[in-house]
Amino acid sequence: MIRTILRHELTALRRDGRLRAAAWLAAVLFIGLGAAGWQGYRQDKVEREHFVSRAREQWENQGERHPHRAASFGQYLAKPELPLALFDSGIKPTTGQALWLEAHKRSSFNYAPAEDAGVSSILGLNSAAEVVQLLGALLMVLIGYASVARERETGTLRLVLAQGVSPWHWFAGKALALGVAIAALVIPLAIGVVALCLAADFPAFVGNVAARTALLLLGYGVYLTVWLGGAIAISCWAQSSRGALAALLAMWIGAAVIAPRIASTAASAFAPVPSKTEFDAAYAHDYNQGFDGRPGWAAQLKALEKQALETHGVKTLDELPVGFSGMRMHAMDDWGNDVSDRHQRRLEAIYTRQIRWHLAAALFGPVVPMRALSQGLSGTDWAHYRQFSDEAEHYRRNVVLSLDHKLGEALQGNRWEVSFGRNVWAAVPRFTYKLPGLGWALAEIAAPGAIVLGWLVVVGVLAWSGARRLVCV
Amino acid sequence: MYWEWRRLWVERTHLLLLGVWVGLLAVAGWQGASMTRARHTEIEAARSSAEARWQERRARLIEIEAGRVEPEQFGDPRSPTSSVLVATSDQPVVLIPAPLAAIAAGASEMAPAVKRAGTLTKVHIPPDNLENPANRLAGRFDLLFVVSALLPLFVLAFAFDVLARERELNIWPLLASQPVKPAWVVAGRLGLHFLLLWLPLVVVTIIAVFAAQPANVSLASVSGEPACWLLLAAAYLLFWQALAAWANFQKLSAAGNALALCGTWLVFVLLVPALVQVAVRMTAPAPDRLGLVLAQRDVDIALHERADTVRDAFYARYNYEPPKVALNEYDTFYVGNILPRAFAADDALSASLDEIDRRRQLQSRRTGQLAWLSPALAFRRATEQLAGVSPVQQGIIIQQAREFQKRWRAHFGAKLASMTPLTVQDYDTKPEPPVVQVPFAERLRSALSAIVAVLIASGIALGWAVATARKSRASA
Repeated sequence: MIRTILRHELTALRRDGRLRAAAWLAAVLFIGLGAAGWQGYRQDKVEREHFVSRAREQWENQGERHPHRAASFGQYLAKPELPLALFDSGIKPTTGQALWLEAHKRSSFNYAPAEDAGVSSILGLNSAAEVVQLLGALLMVLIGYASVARERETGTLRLVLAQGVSPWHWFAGKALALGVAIAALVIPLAIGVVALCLAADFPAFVGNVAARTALLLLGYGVYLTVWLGGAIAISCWAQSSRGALAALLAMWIGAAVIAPRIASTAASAFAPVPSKTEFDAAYAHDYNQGFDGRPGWAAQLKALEKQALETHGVKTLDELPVGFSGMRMHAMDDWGNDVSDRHQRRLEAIYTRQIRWHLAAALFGPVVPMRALSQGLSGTDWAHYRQFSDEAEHYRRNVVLSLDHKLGEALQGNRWEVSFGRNVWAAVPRFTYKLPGLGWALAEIAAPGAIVLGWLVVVGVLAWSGARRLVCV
Repeated sequence: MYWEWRRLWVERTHLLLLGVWVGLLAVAGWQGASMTRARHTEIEAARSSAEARWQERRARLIEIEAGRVEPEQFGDPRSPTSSVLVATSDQPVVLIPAPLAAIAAGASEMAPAVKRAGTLTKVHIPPDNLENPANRLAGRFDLLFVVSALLPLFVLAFAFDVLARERELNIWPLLASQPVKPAWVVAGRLGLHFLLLWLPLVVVTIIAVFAAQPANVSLASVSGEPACWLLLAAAYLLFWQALAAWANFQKLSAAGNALALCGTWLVFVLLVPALVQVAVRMTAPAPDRLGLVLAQRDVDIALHERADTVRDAFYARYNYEPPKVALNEYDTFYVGNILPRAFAADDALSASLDEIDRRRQLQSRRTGQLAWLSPALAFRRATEQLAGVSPVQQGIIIQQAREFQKRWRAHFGAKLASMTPLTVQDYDTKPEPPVVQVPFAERLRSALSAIVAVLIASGIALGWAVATARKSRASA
């Protein structure tokens, strides 16, 4: 019996012209953005590798320079991407591509592609992942909205039940057919994603990446099931298929179109990021005036000078048997790092509050948490960028510190001018970076993952109670 | 219109929808106004703090010259290197948001409102942006988003059964027997919907635009801009209403109309803009920023390697006097190496920077051409251009900063090169950083093509709806 119902349902779905049109639309967009993502990933990879190796070459061949000026010339790094970035570009369009590691301060990502984007898309469709998040959900709505309600309003349901068919069998057949519909969407999606990743970067598609891909596809399966389950549940509860469609479309618009932007606006309003001018002014204030009982830089420098003179028993800095410039730069960098850490922590706290506001939009539907989950597994969320930036900052500090030591060792007294050459620049270790593993990523996406699963439970309960209602018809 | 209002009043769903519409407009208007005000505040803060710093140095110079204060090693206001070479002397070039910036964020979120420029500043490097990229990605809930993406859905919700309902309830023969044409019935109903959707937009837009203006701006001087945009929004609204009318005359069921209109919305608001984005990316690639970074560093290394030649060429080219007194090692390096290199580097990079501008212009042109494919995209583009928040318009601040840097260098170059102490007069005659404002006429000119696209789309849709109505009457 279940098989008959399943066959009947699949035939009905196949014949539904609206569904076909929506599926075509989703397919065209998925293929278009998937191909663009694939091409973009390959091009970015080549450009990034060229950029990083050329930037290193330039660092090593910068010529004879003062070590502090070499530190100011700095190094450039670019964040490597997982092949999954071609499927979900995440925050890449709005985040810079390169980090400039310079002498005095932590820099933020620069040269965001969105700065040069000639057009801003209306609903922010930037990647194939967003097609699945938006149009995949819409397809599920179109598949599921009439599944029960239409049978009821046309009287077919009564007729079927009058034939002695168990309502649970009938419902199971329906659910199975719709499960096949999900599979019909997820299987090509899985093949498409894996094929694109393999084509883009075959050697990278092992271990961490393969596991992330599997989890990502599982996540999308759950996400689409949530939408389909929700559609069936509403269909069970609605008076008419028209009412079910209206309610589901309103939910889709609320969750997929309005909620992300409302969340972004609320995040900016309730957790505002300071302007660059304010941030710089606050940094300069702490640097010059001090904080937490510690004096500002001028006073620290005076104390350092006094201490150096006393330690070595001389009257002027020029008489010091050691290089004071190196000591001064070291102290200055240490102080700058402390001030920078203080302000970076504040900024990070604001970002965390903003991301919580985004997750609050999960009340409207599973789109926002799914977006976070997808970006997290694709390695294109803020957590991955922050982790890269932290590692780069750690590296920067070590490089600057080593150059301060060189300066101190090379000079005596209060002398400043000295030059080093290629042998010193080439001895600076290269920046090595390993993309975080699956465990780290899972810990970062625990909250959005739990919310998506929570939505699955909610729609499961709604669908079950809707089905029970049918039994009582 | 009166009977339609009574119908809407009875059917509370429509009133609820109207409430949601007004609520969404209010949130978007508040968001736009507060964001624009924050930008004005940032600009004001940057300008006043730079001026205060400058005046503080000037006052200190007077004190030193009067012998009341001893100069410090690194902070002597008479020293050109300490006063007009270091980053703390950089001046803020600012881009004043246009009045319509309160309705559209556009590229202004990514572009700086303040760009500091001075003797050594690399003005082409974008300043660090502190905004959370994850937050920026979602996009702003501004009035432009509400109108371009959500307004069509409200039109759909109000009008999908504007005639189909009568047909489904079998009131159509009764209506047809009345001495009123069905087309007028539809026009009356849609006219009321138009007012219900447009009037709150008018109110919110005017409040948002006026609330976003700083206190010193006369509201009368900016009132023309929201009026222009509201007329454009009215044309866009008419486009979707015409489509709804056309769907209703097609003799489909109400549900069929709703799905057809939803499909049209998906195509114009989602599909076409996304594909246009891909097409622009492929046919007019973004400027190669990383390439510029490498080129800039290559130039820096090359100039550093032949520093002596560069220095001599610098003094010869600008006819500057070399320093007449012995300098300390810091100033020797600044004046003999860094300064000539900075001047020469900008000359060497100007071709690459012009190429970036050219690529941006090309992207913009291509987008303008492709915007004709979707009225929603054309409306978006027209609005962004009118609001002065397109990437090209926002890029003006960089061009202005480059121009200002030239003037700044020309003004202080001779004193820096010869290390002649600065005087109070030098402080008083410094070049003022520009306050950039793109005039409305210029913004209107750049938006013209997109405006025409919206108007033509509305005209075609209206003509089509009227023709279908006539055909429908003839067949009836």
